[in-house]
Amino acid sequence: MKLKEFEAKKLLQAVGIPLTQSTLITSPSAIPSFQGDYFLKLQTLAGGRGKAGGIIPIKNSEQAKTRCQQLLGHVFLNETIHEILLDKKIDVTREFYVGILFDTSRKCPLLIFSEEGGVDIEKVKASSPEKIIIREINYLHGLKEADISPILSSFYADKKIKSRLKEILSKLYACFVRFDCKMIEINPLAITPKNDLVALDAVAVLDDDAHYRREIQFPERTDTRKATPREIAAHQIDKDDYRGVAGKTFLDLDGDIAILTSGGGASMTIMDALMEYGGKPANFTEYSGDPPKEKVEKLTRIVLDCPHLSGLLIGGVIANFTNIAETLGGVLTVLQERKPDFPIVIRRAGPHDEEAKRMLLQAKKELGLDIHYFDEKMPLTQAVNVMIELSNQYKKQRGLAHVHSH
Amino acid sequence: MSILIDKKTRFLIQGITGKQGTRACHEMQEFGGKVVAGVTPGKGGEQVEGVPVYNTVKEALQHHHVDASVLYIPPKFAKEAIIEAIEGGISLLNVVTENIPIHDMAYCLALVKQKGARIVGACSAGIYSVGKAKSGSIAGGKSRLAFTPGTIGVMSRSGGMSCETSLVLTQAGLGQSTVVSMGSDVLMGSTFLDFLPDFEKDSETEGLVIFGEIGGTAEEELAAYLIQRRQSGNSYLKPIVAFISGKFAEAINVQNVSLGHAGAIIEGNKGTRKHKVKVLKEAGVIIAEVHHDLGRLMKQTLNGISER
Repeated sequence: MKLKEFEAKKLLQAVGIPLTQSTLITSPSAIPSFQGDYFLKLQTLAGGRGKAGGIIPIKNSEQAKTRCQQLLGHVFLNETIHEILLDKKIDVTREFYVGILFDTSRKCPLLIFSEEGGVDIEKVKASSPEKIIIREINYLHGLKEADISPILSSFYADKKIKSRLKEILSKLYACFVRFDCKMIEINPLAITPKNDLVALDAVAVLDDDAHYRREIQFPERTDTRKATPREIAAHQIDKDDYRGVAGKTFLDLDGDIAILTSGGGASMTIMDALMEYGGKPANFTEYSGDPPKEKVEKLTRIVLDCPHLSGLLIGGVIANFTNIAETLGGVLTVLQERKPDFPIVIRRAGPHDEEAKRMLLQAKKELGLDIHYFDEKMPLTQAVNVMIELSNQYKKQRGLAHVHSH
Repeated sequence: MSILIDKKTRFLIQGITGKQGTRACHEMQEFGGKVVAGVTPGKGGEQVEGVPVYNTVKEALQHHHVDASVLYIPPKFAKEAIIEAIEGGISLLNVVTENIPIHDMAYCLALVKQKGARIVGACSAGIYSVGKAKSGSIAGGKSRLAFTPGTIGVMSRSGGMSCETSLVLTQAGLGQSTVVSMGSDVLMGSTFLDFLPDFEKDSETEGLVIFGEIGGTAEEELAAYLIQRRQSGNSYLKPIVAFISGKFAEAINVQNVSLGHAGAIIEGNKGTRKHKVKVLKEAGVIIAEVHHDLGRLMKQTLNGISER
């Protein structure tokens, strides 16, 4: 989970890293009376805020009020702004960059320091890589003197800066560990005319798997894109019933093939094949972990609540323990209600799959449904190809637009 | 031959009395594997499927020789369990547990590096040396139908797709030597690169098939290794065919939360499907654009080699 600036600063504050004096504003009426040089900093999750005009110089509380009225609750960089930090402007003689993150290839944390901060660190890396120091940290030992000293020695003779910098690096590492961060950075870390160090901006990404033991909790991130009614309804299915997973991930898309996949790797592979064969999904969703019939039934209803469908694709790898008859039973209930006339391609195998097959083929006969049932003898992505061909035929027969001609 | 595990491997199961652990024990025995002991704190003295259960790894090791441990431990307790196994001197740890906090994994990976052991996982569905022995939940239930003994090594970042990948090979008439589900976390015990020397030494393995995903740099590291081998005049001789999933995910932009600027300067433009495919191709890896093509492409490649 990524944190906004004011949230990340709470972590820095907890370990005693010096920050500027600032006030969090969530309503224009709550702005204290002031005069002088301040900034309004819009709280966004996306980067690039400064360049996009999200940091606004302000002279007094009246100005601040007017701007906050214009900005709070409005969209900036595709995000609705709910918070603005009012920061006192401070004099700065120099700016550094410092960050800690896990490196997937070296399998350890890295400490990254740049003597040039306050700008995109990627740009520094591109233009003057010699300004960046990267240290691998042995997790068993934590941040050692030896990791910090090359940073301290290369730049400054000033004893005060050296000792402050050393303290901040140690505190930042402690913060990274204590709050289970996947990444934390201060950019810029500024030097004041009195040679004090202060963190002007911060970013942190928290490890969701360590949520249970984190001392400071933050509200769940809602999507930057507003959820559609179908997405909200699908998520609700999963919240209402803890057994298995169904609908936790749901994306409303603008194609014409309804999708019900199972399993993380399989669902992505199915969608990739759909794209490769020129199919257009009407949604993306997934169920797995042996959910009960009712959950799959509810999810199927949402998946089919879409006009102009030209197919339903149900797919997954051979299941280890998801009951195929039970889960497809949930799908069948909805098919019996709605009796869709478009082709339905199913590729499933696993516990009780013979029973599932019998059930669906019987429904095919009795209700005249266009069901194509495949088991493990048909490769998963081959079944996707069958779906696309049948869907194209269906559209052609009905003279529907958007038929892919190949 | 095979890699990592075979008929002689003596397994310990940590978390053997849990539902999943017991199930894995049953299946591993069914596949002919030697499960010599299990560990669950507080359950010492019990038996699971005829296997003695101990309170600690240390105690289990006093009574048994163990080559590999399979860990079915809840994420909160996984770190302690992994440390126990490493400190006990077990050389191969197959961690099945999902959702282990990344800082716990970082500690374990640093420890494993110091002690010289090897972790496969976390979030691994298991390892299967086909027809010989399996570790973990891989090839459970009906999914065992997907596998046949043979000469292709399989490495997969997805547990489910390690089965489906073996299935498309089986259907193309290609059996598998060892199938490794290696997990897909930010910090993985072992990645493609780590298994390459094992498969190279394994006389039974003729080719490798890879299921990769977007995110991380495991595919890029593999490519860099292959190129470096080629440049040093010592090319990796076994052909590699790969499928990299992520076309859809990138098209709709549901990638993992980016690590922002710091991530960008470490990984650059790595991590995208496009980049992975590009560097793998440069390294001589054959790319399947749809998954079930893996079988056909590997068959073609092997035939090409035998005709030469």
